[in-house]
This record gives sequence, C-alpha cells and structure tokens, in this order.
Amino acid sequence: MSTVVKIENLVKRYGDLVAIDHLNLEIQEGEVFGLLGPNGSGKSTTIHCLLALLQYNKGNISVFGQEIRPDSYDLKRDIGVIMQNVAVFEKLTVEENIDYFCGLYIKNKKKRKKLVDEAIEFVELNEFRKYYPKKLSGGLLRRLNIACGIAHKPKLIILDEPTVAVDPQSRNKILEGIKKLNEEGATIIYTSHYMEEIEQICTRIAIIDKGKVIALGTKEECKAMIKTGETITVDVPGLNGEQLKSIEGLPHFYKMEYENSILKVRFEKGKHNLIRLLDYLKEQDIDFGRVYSEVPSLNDVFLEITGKELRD
Amino acid sequence: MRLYLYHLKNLIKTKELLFWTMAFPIILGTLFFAAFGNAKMEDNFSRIPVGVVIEGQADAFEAVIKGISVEGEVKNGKALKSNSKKDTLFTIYYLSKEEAKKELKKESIKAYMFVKSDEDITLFVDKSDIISSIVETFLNEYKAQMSAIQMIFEENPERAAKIGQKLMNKIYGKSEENFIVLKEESVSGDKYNPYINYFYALIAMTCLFGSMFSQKGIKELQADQSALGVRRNAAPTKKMTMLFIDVMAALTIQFVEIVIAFIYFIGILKIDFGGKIVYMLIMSAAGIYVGNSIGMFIGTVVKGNSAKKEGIMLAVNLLCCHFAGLMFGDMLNIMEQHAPWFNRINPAALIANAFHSLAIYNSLEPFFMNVVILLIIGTVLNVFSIAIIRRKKYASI
Repeated sequence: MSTVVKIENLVKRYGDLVAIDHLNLEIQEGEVFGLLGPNGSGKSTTIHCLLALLQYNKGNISVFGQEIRPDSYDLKRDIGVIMQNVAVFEKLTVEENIDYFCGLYIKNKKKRKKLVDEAIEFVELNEFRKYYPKKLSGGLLRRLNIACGIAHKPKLIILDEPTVAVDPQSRNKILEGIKKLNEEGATIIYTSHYMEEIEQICTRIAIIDKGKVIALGTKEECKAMIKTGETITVDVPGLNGEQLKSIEGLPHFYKMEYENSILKVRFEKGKHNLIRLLDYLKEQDIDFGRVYSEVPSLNDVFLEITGKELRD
Repeated sequence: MRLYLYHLKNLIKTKELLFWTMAFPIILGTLFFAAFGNAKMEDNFSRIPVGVVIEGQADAFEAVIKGISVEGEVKNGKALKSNSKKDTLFTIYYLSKEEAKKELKKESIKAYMFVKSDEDITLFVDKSDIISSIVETFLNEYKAQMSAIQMIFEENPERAAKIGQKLMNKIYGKSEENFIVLKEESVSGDKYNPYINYFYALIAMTCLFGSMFSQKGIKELQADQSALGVRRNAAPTKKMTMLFIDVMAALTIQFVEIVIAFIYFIGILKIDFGGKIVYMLIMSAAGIYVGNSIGMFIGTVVKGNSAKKEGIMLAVNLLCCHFAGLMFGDMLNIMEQHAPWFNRINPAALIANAFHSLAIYNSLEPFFMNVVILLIIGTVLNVFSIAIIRRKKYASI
C-alpha cells in the first residue's frame, strides 16, 4: 500500500489564532480516512491546505508522492472534491452541472458522456437529469453535489462534511455510496463532526481539536487510548453521599456523575461491572428504573482527552 | 466552447441580472419617452425665447448675444412668437423688467437677463429645466470669458458676434480649440434634440450595468467567495481560462442586450440617434468592456459579502451615470464646465460624449478618442483585477 497523502508539521495561523498546529497525517491508498472533530477544530482548513487553495505558514503536503501546488494540474486531475456547501450552478440542470464539472477534468466528449451517465446512475438521480437544483430536495442536492465531485473517477476523494443538514435516509444512501466508491478503488478522506458516520465508514480515524491530532488509529485503537471501558447509566432517585461513596469503591470504578436522578458511572476495562453495580443497589434496597450500559464511543475518546463533548 | 455555452446559459437564466441589464434600461427609456413626450422627442430643437432687460451700458454683451439670436417682436409689452428661420440659439425680446416678469410667468419667454452693464448680468428663470440651464450655461460662459470678450470688442466690435458662436459651441460641451469642424445644423440646433442626452446616459448605464455579470463571474471563480469557487479552483483547469470563458459569455449577452435596446429605442420609440449606428455599437462594445472591468475590479478588490459589493457597484454605476446626465440631462455640460477632468475619466460620460460627438461633429476623432480612453480605463482595471485573481493561494477561505 502506498502513501496517498502526507502532511508534515502543518501550521496555519489566522493572525494570532493557530488554526492548524503542527499537524501530521499519513493516509494510505485504499483507506477511508476519517477526520473527526468539532466545528472549528481545523478539519476544513486542513482540507483547503491539502488542495493547495490556502496559504499555510509551515509544513509540507504531498499527494501521490508529489508536493501539491496550485498549478499541480496532473495531481488535481486525480482528486475529487465534495465540500460542505453545495457547489453547483443554480441555472444548469443536474446533467449539465455534472457535465460541466466533469468537463473541467475530462476533455474527451465521448468519455465524458459515459462518466456523466455513470455518475448520475451512481447517485441515483436518473429521473432528475433535467431538473434544476432548486427543484431538488436537500438530500438529492447533496447527491448532485457528490456526483459533480466524483464523475471524473478520481483516485482520491475528499468529502468535507457532505451530510450536513441531510435527512437520515439520504445520509445512509450517501454513506453507502462512499463505501462503494472505496470498494471501487478510491481512497477517501471524510471529515465530519458526526462520530456515528465516522465509526460507520472509516477504516482509520484522526480526531482533531484546535488544529492538533489528539488521537489517531482505527476506531478500536482510538478507544483503547482512554481509560473508560464501559459507561453504565441508571435512573435512580435519592442517592445519598454515603451510597455514592460506596459506588466509587466498586472494582474498576473510574468516574461518576449524578444529576437529576441519573447516575452515570464510568468503569475502566474489566468484567461484571453492571452486575456489581446492580447488586449493590439491590443490597441497599434502592429502587431504580431504566438501566443501560454503553461501550466507549469516539465522543468518549474526545471527552476524556479534551474534557469537552464533540458537539460542544 | 462547451464551458462557454454553459456559462451563457447560466447567465441568461439569471433573471434578476437580465432585468437590471436589459428590462430596466428599456423600461427607463420608455419612461423618458413618456415623460418628454413623443412630439418633443421628434421636434427639432427650436430657438429659446429669452427676455433681455437693459438698464445700463452693455455694448459688448449686446454684440455677443445678438450674434447668436434673432430679435423677436414685442407688441404692447408682449413677446410675440418669432417665425424666423435663421439658425440661432435664442430669440431675444427687449422688455422692461415688469414686462419680462409677466412674460416669464406666461412662459412666453423661458428666462430673462437683467443687464446693468457688461459685467453685471442677472438671470431670472421660472423653473429649472434643460432650457433654462442652456441659458444659464451661456451666461456662465460669457462671464467666464468676459475680459477676453471686452478686449476683442474694443479692438474689433464686429468679431463679437463670432465670440457668441464660440460660446454656443462650448454650451454643447466642446470648444472649437479642442475639436475640429462643427456641423452648422447641429450647433444651431435644427437637428439637435436636448432630450437625447438622457438616452445617451441610459445606454451608458446599460453598458456599466454589465458589471453585475462580471461580479457574479468573479464570485463563482474565487475560492474565498463561494463554494463554486472552491470547486473550480480545485479542478485542473487554469483559472485564467475559466475567467476568459466567463467574461466572453458575459460580453456576448450584454452586446445582444444593447442591440435589443437600440432596436427598441430606434424601431419602437423612434428615437433619432442621428444614424451612425455601427459606431454607436462600437462605442457600446467598449462601454460593455469597461462595465465588465468595473465589476471585476470591485468583485476582486472589495472585501466583504456579495451584498456589499453589489451595493458599492450600484452606487459607482449610478454616480457615473448621474454625472453623465441620466437624472439631469445637462449634467454632462455642467461637469464639462466645472470639472472637465471628471468627464475624461467617468466611463458613462465618455460613452455619452462619444455619442454626442457622433451627432455633432463631422470628424470621428473625438469619438475614437473617447473609445480609446474607455479601453485604457478598462484595461487598467483588468490588469489590477487579474493580478489579484491570479494569486496562487488564498489567505483564508
């Protein structure tokens, strides 16, 4: 497997604000690489630098083994871009839009026609070929946005929050499509602040905050970086200080929150945490309602490392 | 070619652009036509009836004004309509002050001049319009050159009449020193239509409103201005190629719009632009080029959102057109007297002046002079814009 993207020591400042702080990334061929972070964490800035659109203060970026510059047209030919904001011409139809953008990459008319048809087929917009963008729903518009970015069959596809404000059904279709593109051989870079999406489709993840990579690896590797192994939530009113202290004494206990009758206990990796907690509550004759246990999510990884929620 | 056609379609289907650049000028032209009246538009320019109240010695002034006037008959203190066929600017009526006041009120005369001496002349008008402004312009020119006039009058009283002719030329914005041969009938007015200024300024406005097309084009090309810009900049097509295609599409549409406007004005409203339509189209093409350049320049240089840029662009265009006579037909002449340099750099004034020169002069030199200045202005603006657009990377997106 060869390295498709290599970002070394990237620094981007806006005045005094450091948007990207010595960021390093290496993305391998065939990966679906997720960039996860809250809004303003530096995901889009990283993508803009990677596309040689944005000036940066320090660092090196190479794509397919070559430094990327604004006039690296040969490299750009193999990159597909789908940005957060829908970027289509309002006054051109679905088919014309895809043909226009595909035409910026592919000059051969016959080849382009075939690629446009395939892209329309891929995003399932066949019956909307002659529609103007304003007649499309939000989900269909996003699919058109994707088709415009992938019609030329790029080897590297960069998707920057492509599912923002999309209904769940369309979102699933988009995610399935991305998986399919990857299966067809494209390397994917997918940025999002939706951890569920990243967990669902990405083979490797970089969690970034304040322009820094705070966790990198597969989702299992990222989760293994934190202490929390299990979070148990119990709906239990009226616990007193002594009882809470006893819960703190349970094996593998890591952290606890108790607010509005909801007890949330985090345990380190270990077995039988739920049974032990419920046994204690029964022993103390404490009535409790709903109980559920969760394995750590990427949000837990982010929370434990940064002290704040991903969606803050 | 395919990208050019797509851009053409993208612009043609942008209704708000088409409204401002084609429908609006046609509507405004129709309103001008309705306001000034069909008869007036088609009428030949007739002499302006002016009262003269002499209350002192003003030989030089009298000699000058007589050189460009016929004397109208006054009966029982009333100014009678002159039937003279002579080519002059004014019909003057020698009246007492009281008579002049009455005649002005009755609109038998458009203005009267109260003359105490060669130096002390006061103009009275009942309302401010293009006619009264021509009289005022004459008087201002006379006053501005009074010392020279007096000197000439003292040396050779017969030459005073010719001075009047010179002043008259200046009233139409051009002095004999600057320009070549004046067509007699244009100067004295048999074919001069004072309202045509509004249409010249209107065509200038149509040209400058082309800036809206290029501002849209710039927005869709710059990565720091739109998502489309990001996508287009990420593509392996040269930015200058895309810019060239955008501009060519915009110029094509605007030129067609101008042709449609001319067809409407000449064919439907029967506005007489004095022939030379090919030259007028050449001028319009140069005007469109500058209009696009202004849009590109503002779109590139001004920081901020589209609304801000559009606001600035509209203000610039309307100011240029105002000073070219869109809101007040004689503004071009007023600017020529008080700030002639502004008429040399105001694109709308250059366009209107070029049309004037086609109507007035035999020579095409003044016309092409305006075309060249316009092309220079457009090119300078384009060089600045392209220097910025060409930049390789953005500081922020």
